[in-house]
Amino acid sequence: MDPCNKEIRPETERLLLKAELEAQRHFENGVSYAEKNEPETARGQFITALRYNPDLKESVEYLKNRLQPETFMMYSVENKDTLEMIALKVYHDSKKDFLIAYFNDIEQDKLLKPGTVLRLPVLDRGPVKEQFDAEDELERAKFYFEQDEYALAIGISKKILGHDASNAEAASLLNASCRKVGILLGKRGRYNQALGILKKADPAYSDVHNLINDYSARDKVMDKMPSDPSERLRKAETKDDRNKKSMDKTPSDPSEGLGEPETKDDKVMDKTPFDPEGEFDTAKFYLALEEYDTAHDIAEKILAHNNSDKKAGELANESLYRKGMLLGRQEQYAHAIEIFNKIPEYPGVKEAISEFEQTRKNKAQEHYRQGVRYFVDENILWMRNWRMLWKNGKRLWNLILNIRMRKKK
Amino acid sequence: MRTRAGDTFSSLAARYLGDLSKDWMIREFNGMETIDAGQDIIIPKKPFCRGGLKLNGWQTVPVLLYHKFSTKTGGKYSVTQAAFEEQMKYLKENGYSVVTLDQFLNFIDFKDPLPPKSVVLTFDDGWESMYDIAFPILKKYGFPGALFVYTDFIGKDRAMSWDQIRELAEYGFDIQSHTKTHRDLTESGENGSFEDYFGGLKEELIISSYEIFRHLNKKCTCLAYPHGKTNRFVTALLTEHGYRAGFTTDEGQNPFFINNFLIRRTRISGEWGMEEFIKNLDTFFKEKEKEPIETSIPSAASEKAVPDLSEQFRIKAGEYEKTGEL
Repeated sequence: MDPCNKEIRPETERLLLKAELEAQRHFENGVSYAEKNEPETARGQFITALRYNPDLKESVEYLKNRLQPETFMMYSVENKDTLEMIALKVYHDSKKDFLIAYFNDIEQDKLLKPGTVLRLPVLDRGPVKEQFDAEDELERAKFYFEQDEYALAIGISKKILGHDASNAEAASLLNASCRKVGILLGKRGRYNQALGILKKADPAYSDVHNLINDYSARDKVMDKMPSDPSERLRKAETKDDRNKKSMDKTPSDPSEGLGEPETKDDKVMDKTPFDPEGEFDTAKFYLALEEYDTAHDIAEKILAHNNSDKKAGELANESLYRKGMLLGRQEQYAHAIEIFNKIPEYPGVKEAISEFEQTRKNKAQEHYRQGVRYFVDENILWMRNWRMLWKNGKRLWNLILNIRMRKKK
Repeated sequence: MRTRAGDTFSSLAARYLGDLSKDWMIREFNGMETIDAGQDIIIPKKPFCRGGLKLNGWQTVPVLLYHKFSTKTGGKYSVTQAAFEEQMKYLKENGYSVVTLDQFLNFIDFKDPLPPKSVVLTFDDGWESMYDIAFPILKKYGFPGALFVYTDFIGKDRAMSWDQIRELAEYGFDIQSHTKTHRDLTESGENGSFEDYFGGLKEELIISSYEIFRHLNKKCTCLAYPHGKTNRFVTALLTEHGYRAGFTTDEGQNPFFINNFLIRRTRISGEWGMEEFIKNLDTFFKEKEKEPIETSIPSAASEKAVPDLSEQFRIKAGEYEKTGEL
């Protein structure tokens, strides 16, 4: 109130600073509550922050927008991504590519630069949804098949067959994908694994039967070959060319006409004996087949060659995660937790661990209770025996006493 | 500053804040009801109490929604002339300030404060009875309002004409969009593809705002969702088209932190009595006395800090007055 008072200014500044710090503290509390999914508590903190510092715009932003379900999600373009592929990944519908183009002011057929961040509107699901649409799924599976994403194609085909075992198209797609992967593995000289996968396809499908015979013959030859891996691969390579020619003769297969990626692989094989990308694909395939141990082993092998391979690292973690979840479903909690403890940072692991531990505890308690009951039952039995003994003993004793008394008399 | 004889809150507001309707700011800031000459008084030159945020709670703004009006009997969507007159009279006599859409939007954007008891009046569709019955009453009380029109309706039987709408706009009404056809924006249709749905949505937004622009030379920035229904995709599209706010028909009042695209409105039914109307006019949300939330600093410290705060802002504002800074 007194403009001449010189003490006011430093005091004001001190208070302002204090208020700002308090605001910041409450804001940070708010953020952490928001992350813990406690919007009400978070809101209280953001409001308090604004009471201290009304200029804290971030707090307003959180209150108004970020505590609500978000309208947009951000997507960072990956290598080889097209709008169609992103639409498929995000909306499960490749036809929604126009939507991404519209909201990001880009042309639909434009090439995307990896790393570009796109703004994608979130689509609310209708109230009825979550129905399984076999036709939609089949379309997705076919799309992935054409993109050489056989692992995904197989996963979806399996899902469709799980719903409807008589779906001929899904079965044929599954066979075609298995065959494709088998051939790819064969090209890398991995006959043993190729055989494993080919045997999952219907032998009557296309040339699967022939391939199996061919590969098993080669597998036997391989065993007798020199142990130098590059030598082995080169020999396998020459044989593969022959195999390819025989394949080209079979017209009925819908997967034909996809020769390019294979020839690319061939070139890679020529130069480098260890093919991390090929190995990675194989691992992915095993992951789709729910053979997590094999997938994990392959990923580890890639990592042994190149420790900084992120994709392989992720795959290794994912196979561990899925294995853990599978074990959880089989009620092998201890084993599952042991596996999860190898990947504590993997998303979902912490929750899964605590859930499993809880279930395990519940189970243990149940067992304990059963155990106690059993123990008590047993003891009651024992006690009954003792009582019987005691009664009988008493009777016996009395008898003896009586006899003695009589004797004395 | 020190007050002189004859000063009123309005005259001070006109002199120092350039707007005599901002008298409430001076009154609120100093916590006074009357002014005497020779009193020390602080003029808040910076917005204070933004968002109506107080220590014990926060301001809420009721946005009232009307559709049709009638001279005889009321219905769910139709309010009688007598009832509307009584409602407006109640607002006037009980210290409510009817504010414009723009003022309200600045409030929820946490930019400017509003008078403590503020209300917004909105009118949907564009019925002619609104022009015939409600408009004269609003003029009588000097209340502003917002009209959300669906443009296919305008000029039809029982609807307003563009000339009438222009008259409302000239009076100070805010004319905004209620889409083109009044279809439910969340319904994608039975067999239509997503692309069709998307095209339909765009048409609803673009054509209605174009029509409004063509007739009134004014850009649309707000949308009232037909049937009050929206979803996140509609919101995304509105953001993309530069809209500022979307109005639902969800009942309740609006704190400053309401999401701009989910603004609540209370539909005033013609079947209500005054009591029910008054019940829907809450303008303050009082926070419950609650135990302090776990924080790293003990609660006593934060309690202590709160009175410091108000002190600080008074001093701060006083300083602005002294140095003339803004």
